Amino acid sequence: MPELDFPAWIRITHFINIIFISFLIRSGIEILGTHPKLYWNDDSKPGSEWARLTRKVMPRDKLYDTLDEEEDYSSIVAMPGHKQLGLGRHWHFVSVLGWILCGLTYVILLFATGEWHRFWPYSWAVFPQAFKDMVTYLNFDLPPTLPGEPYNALQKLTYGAVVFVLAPFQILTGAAQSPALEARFPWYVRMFGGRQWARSLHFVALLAFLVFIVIHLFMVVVHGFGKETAKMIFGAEVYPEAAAIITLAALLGLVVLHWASTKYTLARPRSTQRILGKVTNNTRRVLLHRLSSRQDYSRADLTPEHRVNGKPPTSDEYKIMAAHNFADYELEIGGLVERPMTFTLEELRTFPTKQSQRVLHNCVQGWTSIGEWTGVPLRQIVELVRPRPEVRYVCFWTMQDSGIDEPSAPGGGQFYEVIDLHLAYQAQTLLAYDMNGGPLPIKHGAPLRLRLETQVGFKMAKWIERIEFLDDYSHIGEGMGGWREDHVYYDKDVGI
Amino acid sequence: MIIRENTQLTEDQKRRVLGRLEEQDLACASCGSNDFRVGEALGMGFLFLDEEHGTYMVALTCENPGCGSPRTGIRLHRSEFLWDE
Repeated sequence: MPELDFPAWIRITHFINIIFISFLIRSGIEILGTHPKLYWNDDSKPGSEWARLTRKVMPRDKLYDTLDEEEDYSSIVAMPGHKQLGLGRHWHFVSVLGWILCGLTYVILLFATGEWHRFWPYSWAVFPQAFKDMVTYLNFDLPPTLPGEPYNALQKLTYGAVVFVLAPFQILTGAAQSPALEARFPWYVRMFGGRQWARSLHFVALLAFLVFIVIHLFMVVVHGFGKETAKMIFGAEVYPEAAAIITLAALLGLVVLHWASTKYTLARPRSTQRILGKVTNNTRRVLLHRLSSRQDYSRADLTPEHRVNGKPPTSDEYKIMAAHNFADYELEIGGLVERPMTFTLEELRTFPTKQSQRVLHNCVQGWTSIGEWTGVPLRQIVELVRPRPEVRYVCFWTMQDSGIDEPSAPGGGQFYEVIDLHLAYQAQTLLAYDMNGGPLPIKHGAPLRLRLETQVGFKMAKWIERIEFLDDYSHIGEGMGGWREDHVYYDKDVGI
Repeated sequence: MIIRENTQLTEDQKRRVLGRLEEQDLACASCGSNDFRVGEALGMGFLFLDEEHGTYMVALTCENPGCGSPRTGIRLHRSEFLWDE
């Protein structure tokens, strides 16, 4: 075994890790706050949560949506805080990229230099020794390090478990919450027991990290703050006073970094969305954008009461149309196409191809439900209207006026969402008019909604009235690719 | 679970709706006709955030064959039409 110490790369990755993991924890709490309930079932049935981090009580006699359940967490615990899911997501995904890169560098160097021996229990005796070490700590004493090693047995096992079990587990359960991965590899999410199991386990692992961090910091103090931090500053137990001062200054710097990032994010959300989005969007496009859905849940899996997001249009025009079972409904399809067309609901219902799919719906807030959707594959409509060669996007205009119809979301104007043209050609991209064997309910988007199974729910426009083919979307709204992208800073490509 | 959001009305209930139309002297916004056929009623109190409990949109179809926009509706409270004798 090589001599194990604290080389510069261990010290550098340790500090970089602190930065990323602290941002991951705060932004993760922001994401959790948007649907502060955890389940062991993919229905996310109200009342079935095993943990709830909210005191809100929802009405039983009025339609509420999951935006109404969102919590406003303080910026002290959440990044950036104050119901900013979109911005929290940007921070979480940028941080996770940095964290994974840092972790990979650490693990590669760990094996390349032989430092991995510090974590490997060569003898079964390490386990009872770790227990004895714990007893020693509980007796307010310090256990000795293992011969020739930098850690005692308990530290060896704990650090090894954090690096090789807890961190990968957190990455895997995070990935299991990606609708693109779930849609393409349904077995992957089932491996964790389902999407809500993955979300709950991700939360449990967060708690484990928090417990580890608290005990780790406490132990640094117990073992001797200056002496222990010197190992991570100078690589050896030298200059303890200087090490303590540098460490405290570094921790203060970390606090200032968080404070400044939070202030900037809340003061300049659009700029934050653009800057962080550039990093995450390119990564997601490479990793997730080409995945297509292959879901086929069983009828027994269907959620009895599929959850809802978004509220129905309140215009009298819509209500009268609904009272007439949408007999006057016409879907207009235009923009940069060779054959603009309109379809009545009846024409869509009698379209030569009728497709049904039983799929998992992933809300951006974290809840899920399983539904059966029936409708016309969008690719067939695309082939009929024949987009011009310059077309790159499809915009779905809805009958919802968000300023009036969705008071839980800031901003006004007609709700719309833009998707990349290639997503329209995917096998399970559907214009749905039926749900679970009956007409599409009003609360789920009647008479027509989009199903786009590799993306999170807000992209699947409901109450659609017009579809427009575009070469560019920068002139629509704030130019970010959708109403939620414009007003609540969500990301346009949401495969995770 | 299949949920029908519209309520089908009995003949009595439809007659009551026509009575309300007469009381309000409601005419078709498109052609001015007073001759309507009563259709189904959409319960709105639960679904729409701006509607009171017990409020319905009752579907009306203008019977004038020349009407350019025959489908319309009237907002009524359930106490005005939706009870069984």
